[in-house]
Amino acid sequence: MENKNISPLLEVRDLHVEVEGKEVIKGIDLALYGGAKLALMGPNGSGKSSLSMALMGHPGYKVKSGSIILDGNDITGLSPDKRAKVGLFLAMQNPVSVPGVSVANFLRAIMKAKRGEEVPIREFREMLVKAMGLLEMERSFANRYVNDGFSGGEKKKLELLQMVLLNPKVAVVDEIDSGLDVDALKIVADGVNRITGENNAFLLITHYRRILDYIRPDGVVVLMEGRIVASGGPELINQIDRQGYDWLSAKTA
Amino acid sequence: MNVSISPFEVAQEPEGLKNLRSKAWNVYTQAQFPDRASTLWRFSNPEAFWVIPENISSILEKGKIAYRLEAPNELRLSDLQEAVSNESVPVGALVGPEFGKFEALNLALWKKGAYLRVPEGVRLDQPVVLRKHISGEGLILDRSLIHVSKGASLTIVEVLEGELAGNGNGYLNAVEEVLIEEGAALTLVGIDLTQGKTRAFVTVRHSIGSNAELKWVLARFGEGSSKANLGARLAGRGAKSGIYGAVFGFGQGKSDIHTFHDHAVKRTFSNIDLRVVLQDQAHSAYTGLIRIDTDAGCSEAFQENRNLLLSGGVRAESIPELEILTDEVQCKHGVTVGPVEEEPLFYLMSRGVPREDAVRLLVVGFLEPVLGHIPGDFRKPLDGLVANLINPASEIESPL
Ligand SMILES: Nc1ncnc2c1ncn2[C@@H]1O[C@H](COP(=O)(O)OP(=O)(O)OP(=O)(O)O)[C@@H](O)[C@H]1O
Ligand SMILES: [Mg+2]
Repeated sequence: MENKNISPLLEVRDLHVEVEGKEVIKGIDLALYGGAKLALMGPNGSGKSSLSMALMGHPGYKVKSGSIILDGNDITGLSPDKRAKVGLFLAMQNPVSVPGVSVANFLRAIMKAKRGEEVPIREFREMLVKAMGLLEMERSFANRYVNDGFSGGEKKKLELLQMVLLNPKVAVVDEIDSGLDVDALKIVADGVNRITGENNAFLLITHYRRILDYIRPDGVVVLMEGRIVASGGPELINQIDRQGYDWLSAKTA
Repeated sequence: MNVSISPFEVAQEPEGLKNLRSKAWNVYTQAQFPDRASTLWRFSNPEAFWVIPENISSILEKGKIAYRLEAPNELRLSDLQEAVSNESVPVGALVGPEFGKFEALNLALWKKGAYLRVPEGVRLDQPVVLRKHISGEGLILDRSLIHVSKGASLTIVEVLEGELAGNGNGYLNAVEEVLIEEGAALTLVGIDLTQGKTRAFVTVRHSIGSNAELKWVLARFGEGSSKANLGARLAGRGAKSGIYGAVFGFGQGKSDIHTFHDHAVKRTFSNIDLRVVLQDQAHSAYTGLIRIDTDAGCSEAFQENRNLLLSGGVRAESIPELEILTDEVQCKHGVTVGPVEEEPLFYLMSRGVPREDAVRLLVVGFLEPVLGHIPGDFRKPLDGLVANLINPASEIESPL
């Protein structure tokens, strides 16, 4: 599916990232083309979330060298809001709670930022109701404070709701499946599938095969100790599911 | 003893009030200045509120205050001075001549004043609005008395507007006494929208009867300076008091707030949530005293003060004080001081919201648990006001 004549939507070149003075990403290269759904797997603490945070520009995850190119723009030094503006989205593994800010006000601010002007209240409501319906979320959800007291599954749904509203070019989805029951998993996977197209790309971080049964990635990369140790087609998922990661660490040693 | 008589004695006032005034005048002119070592005065200089007795009459004439009530017909605002002459009104019952030197100035010399009596059992769904408009310069003595009779229930929104020019040694000296009788429920919303560098000295005391409830919401956004002493006495069993304060200080603004929850009897409940946002060179000091009397077991008292610092030049001080004279009580207090949190800021920005807008959203969110208690019509403009006041350029250095 990769067409080498077309430039990738997301390109990561020899990326090194430090957190708290410790190197957690030790030289990563990645390219995601339009229409791609790439699974990123790897054991706990291997650096998956660190990579995603660095991509989004979290100040705690410092890029020491290398670059991040989004749709032809070098975003390595940009603030997170500018990265979002260019079309990057990160569904976080542990989204933070924002007490005092209602989901509705939060989403309205997001839509205003995307559009560059205030979205009329009526139009915003319609958009919200539709997107929430899609994710089978209760209306009352909109009045609650962002992620405050949310269950694990509710947090994931709110992340996905934002993704649907923002319709990003590149979405990095960090363990959107953890903490979801089977029904919610299907809804979430449907949501992802609904916004995939030739002009979008997905990087799906996960530990489980189950979500990949619904989303069907076209490739897999495996991260261990901050390095990509394997990449391949979907068959790699089954192998990891059966054998874990030990056989890969033996290979790198 | 040298008992001097107030220079503004009004002949037609009842003897009782005349006596109070003369006692108060004596306290104002003769009492020692408050001790700055006491917590109450640690952060404000009492000299700032002293006006030389000989100068008072000239500067009193220059400051003006007008009261207006927007309420259904069953409620009427009376002139406090007239009311005292016509019926028995407990002026000075909660803030009397001995209360303090500057409160005594108010009692000695106030004229006019606002008196609102809510008759027994009156229950109103719509808030009533008491507007106080100040103007001019010099000294304003504002005195109000609200009496909520048995079983009544209502929301009073008190809006303080206008501006008092900061020339010379003038300031607003306000005293409010609020009686909440048995089984009554009062939501009192105080919104201070005074402009400019208005200086204020404010003392409020509530007395809450058995099974009565006070919910007191205060919002103050300004660059003026104020010293406020806000208290409630939980006087009857089952009495409840909740104080929710939102302060936004900017410019050279200064806010010195003291709260006092006085649990006098068993089974009384109090809660304080004070949220302070500071910008530019603004300064906030908060001292909160919870007192639980020897006979006031089985009571609960909570107090929390959060301070959000938006600029490097601001200062926030916070001192909780407990005076617990009995067992079997639940008491908790907490203080936080810090800049806008990085994680929520990153979260909002990662969704495309520019830093400035993200900060605005977070500051409004910080005040929401307080402002959320304010009825919608009055609350909406406050959000806008807060958002406009925030100057993200003045913010503390941050990696984001
Ligand atoms: N904010 C942080 N402060 C300190 N250490 C961190 C921080 N974030 C990540 N690390 C460290 O970096 C390493 C990689 O962590 P990361 O969260 O990226 O792993 P992960 O692959 O996402 O793991 P998991 O599958 O458990 O989510 C770990 O050793 C972790 O402790
Ligand atoms: Mg992770």
